[in-house]
Amino acid sequence: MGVTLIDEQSQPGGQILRQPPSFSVAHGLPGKLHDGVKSALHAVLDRQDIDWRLQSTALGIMRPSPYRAAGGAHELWIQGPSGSYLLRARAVLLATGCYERPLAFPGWTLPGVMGAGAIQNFMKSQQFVPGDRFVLAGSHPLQLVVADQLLSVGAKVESIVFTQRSQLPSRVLRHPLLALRHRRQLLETSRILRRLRRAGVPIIFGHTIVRAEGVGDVERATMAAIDTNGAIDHRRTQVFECDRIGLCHGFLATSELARQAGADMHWKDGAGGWLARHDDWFESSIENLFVAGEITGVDGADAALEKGRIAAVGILRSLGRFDDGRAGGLASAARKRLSRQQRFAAILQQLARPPASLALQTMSDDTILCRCESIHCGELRRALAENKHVLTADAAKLMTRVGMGLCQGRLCADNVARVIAAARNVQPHEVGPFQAQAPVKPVPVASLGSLNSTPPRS
Amino acid sequence: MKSVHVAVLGGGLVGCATAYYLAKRGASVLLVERGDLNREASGRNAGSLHFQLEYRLIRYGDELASQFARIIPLSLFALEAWRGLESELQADLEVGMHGGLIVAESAADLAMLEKRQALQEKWGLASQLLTAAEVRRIAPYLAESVIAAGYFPHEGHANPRLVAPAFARRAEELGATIQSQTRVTALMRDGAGWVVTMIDRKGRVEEVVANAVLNAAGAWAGEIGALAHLHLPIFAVPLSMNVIERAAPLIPHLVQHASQRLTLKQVAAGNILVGGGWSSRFSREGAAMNTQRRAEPVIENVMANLSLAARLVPAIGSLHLLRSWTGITGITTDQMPLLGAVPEAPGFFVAAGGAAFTHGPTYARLISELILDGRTSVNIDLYSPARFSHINSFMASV
Repeated sequence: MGVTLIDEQSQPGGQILRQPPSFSVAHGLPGKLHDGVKSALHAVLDRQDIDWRLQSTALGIMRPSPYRAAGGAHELWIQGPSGSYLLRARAVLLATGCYERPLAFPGWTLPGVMGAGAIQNFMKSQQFVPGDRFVLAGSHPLQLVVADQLLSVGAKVESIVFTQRSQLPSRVLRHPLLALRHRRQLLETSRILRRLRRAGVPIIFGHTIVRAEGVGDVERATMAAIDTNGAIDHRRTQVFECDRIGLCHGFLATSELARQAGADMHWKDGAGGWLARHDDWFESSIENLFVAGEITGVDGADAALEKGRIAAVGILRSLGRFDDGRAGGLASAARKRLSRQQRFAAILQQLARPPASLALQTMSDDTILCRCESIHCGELRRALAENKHVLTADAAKLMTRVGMGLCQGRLCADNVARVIAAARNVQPHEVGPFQAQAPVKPVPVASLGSLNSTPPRS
Repeated sequence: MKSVHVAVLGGGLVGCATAYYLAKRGASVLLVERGDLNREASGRNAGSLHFQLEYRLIRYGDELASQFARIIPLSLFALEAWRGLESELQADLEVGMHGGLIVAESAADLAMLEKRQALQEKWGLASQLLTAAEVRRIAPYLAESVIAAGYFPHEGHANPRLVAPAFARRAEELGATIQSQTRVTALMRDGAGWVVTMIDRKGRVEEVVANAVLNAAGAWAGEIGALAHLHLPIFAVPLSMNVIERAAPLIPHLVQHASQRLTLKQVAAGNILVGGGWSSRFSREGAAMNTQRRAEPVIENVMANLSLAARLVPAIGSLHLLRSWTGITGITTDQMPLLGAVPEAPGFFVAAGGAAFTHGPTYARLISELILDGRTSVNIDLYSPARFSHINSFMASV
């Protein structure tokens, strides 16, 4: 079976195993976790029979034209290092991962405010610490890991702030199911907590970031207490001086290619937002378009690996290489491991989600909502008040330009949906995602000139 | 049963604008939209205000071109309508009328421009034919390959995102009722009126009786026609448009090509919109094309469209394409709008087809006059659905 792998990065490994561009894999892989994922990467890295297309972006997935006969159920529009081309495939697997859920609040677009995962990526891929004095704020335990990595390279962590009122890490540690099944993760977490305590890093619970301020760059972060009803109490605040803020409120699935292709989606708060629907073999609602990893639910790297294994068997089954019996046998071990990991993921998602109304409370009218188009939250709220027929994210986009900029709404979609849902008294999923259109990422016009439908093998 | 003077079916530009003009005259109006207001061609077109003859109207030979040229008086009426629209609606619609250029790159292009020029003059549109040097002076952003251009100083663009919603807001202020996310499922002639049956997104069914029904369903006007057992020969065609990232002010004009499919403009926010009638593609459902789902882009066409744009305006090459989007528009069998009463179906009016963004507010004003007064301030007989009586005389059964 001919396999072509398309990835935006210059080396495979995704976010978890993100590699430095010029270092060898053995030295680049961080951390003690993810052994399974690492060995999966090692198993394919040197394979010459995989057609590696790195530094390449899939811009869209189309049905082939009836006017250009050729095999394949899908046609992919690819932007590679030497230009744009179309690629036919009998089956496509989308494993597009996830990105950090942005929280909007006054000052969130100041230089120096970034995702905690982005800080981690700097350390993984560039071996570079992007600041000196860090504040981490959010709801996800990833910020403990990032803080630990920052300490280990000599950076100062001024504080770690959790929205959860009770001590999240100890709740995780005490969960009986987790204690039984996920000893390694828990041991690692308790070691991190010990190191943070030893270094004197304050870990504050029941607070949220409400403001970032500074002249030119971020200089301080204001945290406010969250009361028992989940409401922010702006009278009880703490201020931390810093030059970097890492936000960590969970993840959103990278769903634009699946949506652009027309796959059925469903919305799951706390598990990645808009997710692709799929059957037992991870086939989406579109025939021979498979989905695996976080796009089916942000369950973590180990679960993603098992989803990928099952989807691979599913593709071979769908293309007639395996009958149902053989396929079922090949996937059964992965299914068992996956269901265990998904139980862990579900507990983590439950514990790691911020209060449902947090984003609505941190977005004052003068908060920038769509940073690409510089649209303030108040502008959207006003447009909704004046145009009562605007019920969907797409209608709001047409009315106000939210989501029309360079990022195609990746950064504002979740917050826009929450504002509309609150104004119309519906759930965010009723507001819908933005319509995703090709190219799903911006592409230089000059590179579109010569379209090759049979690209050079890289 | 609730009763209204007019039920307007379709919440695009024509429907919203007609609701406004009717309500302004004191008529009671119910507008019903299947999805969201302004979500199809009215909000998805590229916003050109073109009054010169479009390429699609002159590409099929001189004889047809001279027939199509008879639309120019309506275009000039539309031009005046756009001039007053922002103050009429008290809304910023980003109307910019700084001139339109139809550029020529070859002798054949120039010959087409000359013919176009003659037709436009005959019908009262005062365009000019500019030499290469004159083009360069007013449009230094154009490539050296441009050897001449037809220029009309009043062409331009408006923002399609804003126009229909502004009409809808004013219509509601004047008492019109607008029901979006509501589908019309039946039209029944009852005495002197029409019983309109509709179902909203929660599944609630309602019936309203209307003295008149206006079919303003654009590309889907045929489906509304079918509810009244009529054939309205309008076809859904899938097009694509492209938006390029924001840039400093560069292109004040609406730019078109004499012999190729191109419209190009820079909007108020700085983005450059590139279109011109390149097709996208319907998805298939069994043996039929699905005209209800969003059409898919045809990447070859997107690329050809942008290559042409970058050839004419070289500065575009260094910018990013943000996205392409598709939209479905309705084209009648003879390319002319369907505007007027269906003689075989009393009280049934149509306003669809043609250049329905540039002409939309004008269709709306004229059809509202026809519905309320029985006559219009500009003659629209040319566009009457009566030209299809040879079909509908077999269809309607009054």
